[in-house]
Amino acid sequence: MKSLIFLAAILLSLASPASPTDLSNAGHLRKLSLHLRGVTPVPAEYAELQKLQKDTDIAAFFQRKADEYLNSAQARDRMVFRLSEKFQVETPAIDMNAYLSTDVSQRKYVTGIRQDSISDLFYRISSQNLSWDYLLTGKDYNLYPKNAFFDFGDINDFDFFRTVKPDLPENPSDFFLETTLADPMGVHFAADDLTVSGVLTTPRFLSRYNTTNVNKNRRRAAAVFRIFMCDPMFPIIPPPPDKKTADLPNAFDDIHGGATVTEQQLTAAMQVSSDARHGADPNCAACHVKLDPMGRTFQNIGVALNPEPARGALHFTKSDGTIFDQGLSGIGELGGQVAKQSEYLNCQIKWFWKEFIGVDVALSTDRENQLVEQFNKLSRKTNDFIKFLVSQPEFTKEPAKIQIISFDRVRPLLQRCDSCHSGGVDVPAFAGGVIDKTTLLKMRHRVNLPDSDHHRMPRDWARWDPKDLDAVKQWIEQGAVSPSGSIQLSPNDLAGAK
Amino acid sequence: MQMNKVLTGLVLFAFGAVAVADDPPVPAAPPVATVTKVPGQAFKMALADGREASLKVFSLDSPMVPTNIKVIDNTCTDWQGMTCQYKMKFRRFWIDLVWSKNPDASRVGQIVEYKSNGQDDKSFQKAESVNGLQTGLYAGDKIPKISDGAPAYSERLPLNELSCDDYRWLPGAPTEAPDTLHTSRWDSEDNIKNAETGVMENRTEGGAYGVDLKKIDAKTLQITRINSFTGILRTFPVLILGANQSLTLTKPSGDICQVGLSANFQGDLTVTYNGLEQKRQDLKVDLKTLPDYVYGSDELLDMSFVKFEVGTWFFDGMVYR
Repeated sequence: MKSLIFLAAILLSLASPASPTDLSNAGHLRKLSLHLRGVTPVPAEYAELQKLQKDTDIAAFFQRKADEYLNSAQARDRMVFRLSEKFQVETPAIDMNAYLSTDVSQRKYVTGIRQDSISDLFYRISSQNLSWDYLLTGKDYNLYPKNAFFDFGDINDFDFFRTVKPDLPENPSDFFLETTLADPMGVHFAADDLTVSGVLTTPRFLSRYNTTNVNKNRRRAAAVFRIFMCDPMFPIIPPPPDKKTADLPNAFDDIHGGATVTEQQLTAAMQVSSDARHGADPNCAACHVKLDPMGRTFQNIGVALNPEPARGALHFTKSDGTIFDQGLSGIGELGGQVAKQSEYLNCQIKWFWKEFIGVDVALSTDRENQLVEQFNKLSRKTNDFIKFLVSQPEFTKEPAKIQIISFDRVRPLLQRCDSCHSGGVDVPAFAGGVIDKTTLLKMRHRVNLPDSDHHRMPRDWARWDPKDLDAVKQWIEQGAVSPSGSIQLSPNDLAGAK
Repeated sequence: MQMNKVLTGLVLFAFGAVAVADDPPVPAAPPVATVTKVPGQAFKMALADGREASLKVFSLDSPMVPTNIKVIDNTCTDWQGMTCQYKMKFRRFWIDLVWSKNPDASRVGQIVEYKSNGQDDKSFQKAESVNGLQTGLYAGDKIPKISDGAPAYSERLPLNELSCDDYRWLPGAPTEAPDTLHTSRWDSEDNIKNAETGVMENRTEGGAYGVDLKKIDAKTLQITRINSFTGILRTFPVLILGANQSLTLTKPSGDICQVGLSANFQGDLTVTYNGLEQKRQDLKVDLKTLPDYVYGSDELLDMSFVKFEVGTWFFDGMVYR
């Protein structure tokens, strides 16, 4: 009985709000303002909207507001926050009370948000309506001085870029930051320059994803795969039993034991060539075949840029199962190659959807592909695409009701699992419906792997009806209800394993 | 003295006296010191009230210090486990600013003390430096540049060397030292806070880019050129400091490879540093009795150790006693 009440509570929480209707005009305006600027509209805007009668006038109003909001200081600052989160670099500190003031005249936007080359690049993506690809392919940077005292231990833009631009001055800030540049200093690299590649060659990105003797830039490569191609880089080798994947932010740490193993210990343990070891063990090779060639393009970069580019390659299994392998003459070619991949496009569309439509609105594969097409039509211009996205019907829809997946719905599908997994000590009989948590979480992980991953389940996924696959996924997400109606995975189990 | 104290000292001279950081100098404060820095003439500080001070500089050189480094990881060849030696010579500096003219006769011959105007008398610090170290990495027309002046390098000290009985750990697996060797990156790593995440972790702290070595005998390579230095600590040449190092090299195929090295530079450097202090004490050197320092006599003018080291004593608004 207790479990049934629990189930009801979960389902209610998943299914609300109940209305599948369009948002009201006021709701639409509120959502538009919140999504684009991060603040609510002021009363005068609601009043203006209320006066409009004709549908065409209302549509024109929302077009105008989208332009206005996208060109606001808040939208630009917000893009810096969004991208700081996307890249998992430190988000700039702001005075939230001032930022969110309902009195527009009192709102204080972020000052000094563009305090270094990476946040400046994030800002320009929005303020100049740049192509989204510029994050990967940009060859222009603005450099900012740093306070040598407070930023001690963190390389500044000038020291970082001067290794490839020897004429750059020392960090123009003195020890006490008594002298600063009135404007940032711009540096430009040729389009075919091999040493720089957008965000990937900024001091803060490289600091966030630092490299070591042992790591050999694999952490940096993993970040590129995760951020730009939505490759989760899930560990193939399970983490220690006392650790959950969610506890460990980096795939490198997950795979290699996280904080339980120091890199010195790891080095000592790897008395044979690390590349040979990774190549010989199929579990290691599954990731290293992707990470090592890309990592080599970062190899000459330590804490600053290196005038000598390093050769490497973009190598991965595409979503259609084919192997992509393209040699690269330097890091400068990496961003451009990634931006040509369909996996990049689909991944970025998912990100835009999450940010501007919302995770509560489902994105089908067909719709995703339509949006990729539109993204390309708009030359991948950031603001143009956002404006398009918020003009789409999904933006003004309430979330749809969640369909409850019963065990009866998935029983025949689980029988298909049993046709390969015959049951036993390690693998239970799935169709029985009573499955231990560890196996359920492993199922959840495997069915959500990219199609290209050889650990993806079911193995014959291509022959499954996508609706059936979705049903299995949803059944697990809803707690894997057993034949008796009990919840086998609690929200905590699901949250902890994500 | 522990190595971290040595490094702290190096940091202090690189960025000025930290003691004044909490209470920056007041711009309007008198008296402003006039500093005579004319090459070939005695370095002198003169104050408007007639007081004068001169500089006393003493230095000692260490013998060539060998540090064992072991090849612990290698993607260039299958060879590892070899032990080589990195050899370098150090020069340690002691510098005092001493009163030569002072109405208070008891102060003549004593070390000048300074503080920022507005600070209380407890803030007076002696104008002396005992932490300066140089090594021989200055070579030819290429000046290693970690910060303006790069005082950590000397033209007069012998160049640093790498010596191995076996070089099969290098690309191409040569049995003896190759005629030349180029490494695009020679980095050091340490356990340092990641500024983006706040987590302490092993990370690259910097090093040298474009390092050229040339053969001087079958077992020895000499570092002849370094294109640039980089480092998040911006102090001493980290090329030689970290316990874990990596060399990025190029295989004959043109592909990049990496050699991991393990060393104990800090331990050897601490022993050397302390040994030089002991030697100075054994020699009973009293800096106050030395002749006045002639500006520019320590190294090339642009590389003057003194120019870099003592610059922090002459901020506007300092008061002296």
